[in-house]
Amino acid sequence: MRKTKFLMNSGTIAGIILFLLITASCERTDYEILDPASAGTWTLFDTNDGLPGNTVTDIRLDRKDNLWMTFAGQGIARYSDGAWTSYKTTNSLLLSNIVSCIADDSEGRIIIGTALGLSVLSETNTWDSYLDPVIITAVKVASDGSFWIGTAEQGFYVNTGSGFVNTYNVLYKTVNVIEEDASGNIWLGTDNGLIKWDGTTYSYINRLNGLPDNKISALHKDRQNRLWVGTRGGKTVSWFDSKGLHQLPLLNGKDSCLVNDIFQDRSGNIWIATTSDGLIKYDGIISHTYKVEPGKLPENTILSIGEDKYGSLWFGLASKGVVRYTLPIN
Amino acid sequence: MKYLSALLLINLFFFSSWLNAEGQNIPPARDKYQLLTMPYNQRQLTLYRGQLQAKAGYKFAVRAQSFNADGDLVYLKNNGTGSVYHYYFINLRYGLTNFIEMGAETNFLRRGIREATITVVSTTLTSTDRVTVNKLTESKGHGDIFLYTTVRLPIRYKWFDFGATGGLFLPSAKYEPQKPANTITSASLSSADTYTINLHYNNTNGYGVPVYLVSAVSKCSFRKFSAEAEWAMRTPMKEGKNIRWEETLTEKAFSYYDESYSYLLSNIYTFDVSLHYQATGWFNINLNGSFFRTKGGWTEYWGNKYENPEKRLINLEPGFELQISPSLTIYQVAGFPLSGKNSDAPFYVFTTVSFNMFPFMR
Repeated sequence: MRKTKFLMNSGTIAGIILFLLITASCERTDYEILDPASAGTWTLFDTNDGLPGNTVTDIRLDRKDNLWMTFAGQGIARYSDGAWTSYKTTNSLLLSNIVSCIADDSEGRIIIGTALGLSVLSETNTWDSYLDPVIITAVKVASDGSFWIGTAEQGFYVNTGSGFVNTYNVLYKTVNVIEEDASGNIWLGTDNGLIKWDGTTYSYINRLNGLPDNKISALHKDRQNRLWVGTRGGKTVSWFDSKGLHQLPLLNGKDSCLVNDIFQDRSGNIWIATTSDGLIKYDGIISHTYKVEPGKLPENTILSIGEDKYGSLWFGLASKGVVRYTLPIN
Repeated sequence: MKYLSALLLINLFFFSSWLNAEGQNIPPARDKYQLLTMPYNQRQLTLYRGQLQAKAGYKFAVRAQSFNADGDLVYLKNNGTGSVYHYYFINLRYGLTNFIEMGAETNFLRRGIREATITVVSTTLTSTDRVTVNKLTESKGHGDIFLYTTVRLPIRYKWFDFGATGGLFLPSAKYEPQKPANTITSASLSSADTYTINLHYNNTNGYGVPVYLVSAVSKCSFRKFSAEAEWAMRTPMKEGKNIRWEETLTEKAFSYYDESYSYLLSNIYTFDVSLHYQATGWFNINLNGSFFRTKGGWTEYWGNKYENPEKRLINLEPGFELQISPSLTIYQVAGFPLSGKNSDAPFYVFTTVSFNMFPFMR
């Protein structure tokens, strides 16, 4: 009898333990789980898919995970939840359809650089205009909230909260791109080299200091706090880090390479968009070149690079729309 | 399905506890030599009361082929990426009663996987870069400690037995990969642009999170023949965190940084069916069919959670059990992969030595 009781107790205890183990393991997760087959794929979008144009000059992800693109002569578009929304002078108060750059600020406003000044779209869908009719070429909202605006032929403007102030130097009158580094310094890429603003003074860096060319066309701060510099000439892409200036050879076998944009993806690769030389991916060790290939890249001139909320890369093309590249997994 | 299986197991436990205990009467005068030399076809699923068993095993696997996502066989040796791996394990079990045993197990793994060498020849205006990249991913280290309890039907084994196991892999082993040990060697003394990069990644062997195991096994014998079927499931207790190492080469010197990512291990299901023939009292041969499958789980890449690819593998395993002495038994199994998906398909030989004793029985 005692043995029977002992057996019953043992069985019951073992059953309860097993039940607890299994119920604890049945933890539910509510994440969005992606299909691994979707990784490493290329998808082309063009006007047939709802894009307002096929020449994509800039791509930015805003703080609400909307993807914004600017188009040469065709305004801007927002990509959200798989749908495109276009903004042109005909359906909004955008100053011009010739748009070269876009950014957003901490208040959720979208700042758009056009050929006729700066258009600002607020969260409540109201439009404001500034610097009309200056040709805007670059926009940067710095971490301190200040606005840095680059122009063609008219230097650059800074607004720290009390209005736009113009800085003009005849040697640096065209500003192509603006970036902020990890220390809060502002870098302006001009047609005559780099200008660095450290909060107190401006300093100037050009070919004499080791840059491959004076026409600066791309700046990008990566997660390792390196500042990448692309130029419209020369045989290398440069980067600054704590040890100084370094060069990455551009392996196109020609006299020079025209860099349009530089971007670091979430897996740490540096992507370089070029004119005629396709895409170059630098994985930290060696460079890989991507050129026209059916089902992947439809042309060799890439003007802009951005990423969406999933970390997929978007490559803005010169004449064939935009390509989304989902990062591969391994 | 998961819940149903769990419910079934629990019911079986309760049912087994309700059975009349008279059936499991063991003759009071136990002969330990008789118990230690019990042939497989007359042996119950768990150890006998007071029996201590220590096992040590070694598995040598040749990874010459693998199954891809479509289930096609890929011959790794054709592109020079075949490899071998070594797996050692130790296991200690003790019979608390004639129907409950406890055990502990751990392992050590060592393997190296080479990828095909890549040579990059790039022409610049001034020079020709010729960079050869070799990649070796090494996995080495102790596995987690597995603690478990097995309960069998409280009846004396005649021709049918059923047992169930519940256990936990304690995250005792290192699981974060160690910093890579990449090197650069110059292949040519005359050209600074001709060099070889040797990427060497160092992985470890632990799960990183507690993992439950539940299993059920049944066995039946008819004269010299026996059949055994075992189903097992491993499932993680929670999500884990790990790191990936990234490297940057600047002026031929590597610098490294790590990035954190989260993961949820896949559930692992195995199902084994074996047929045994007791040739003599000390020699048993068997043929085992083994089915392995993973399901669920995810791994974070670049801020996104991607479902872990489902793995499948079916192996055929002929083997034998040879009793050397009352306390010493040798088991040997050879594994032949038959089909699979997203999985290595190694041929392997697994040898286990088992030492048995009744330390508290005169």
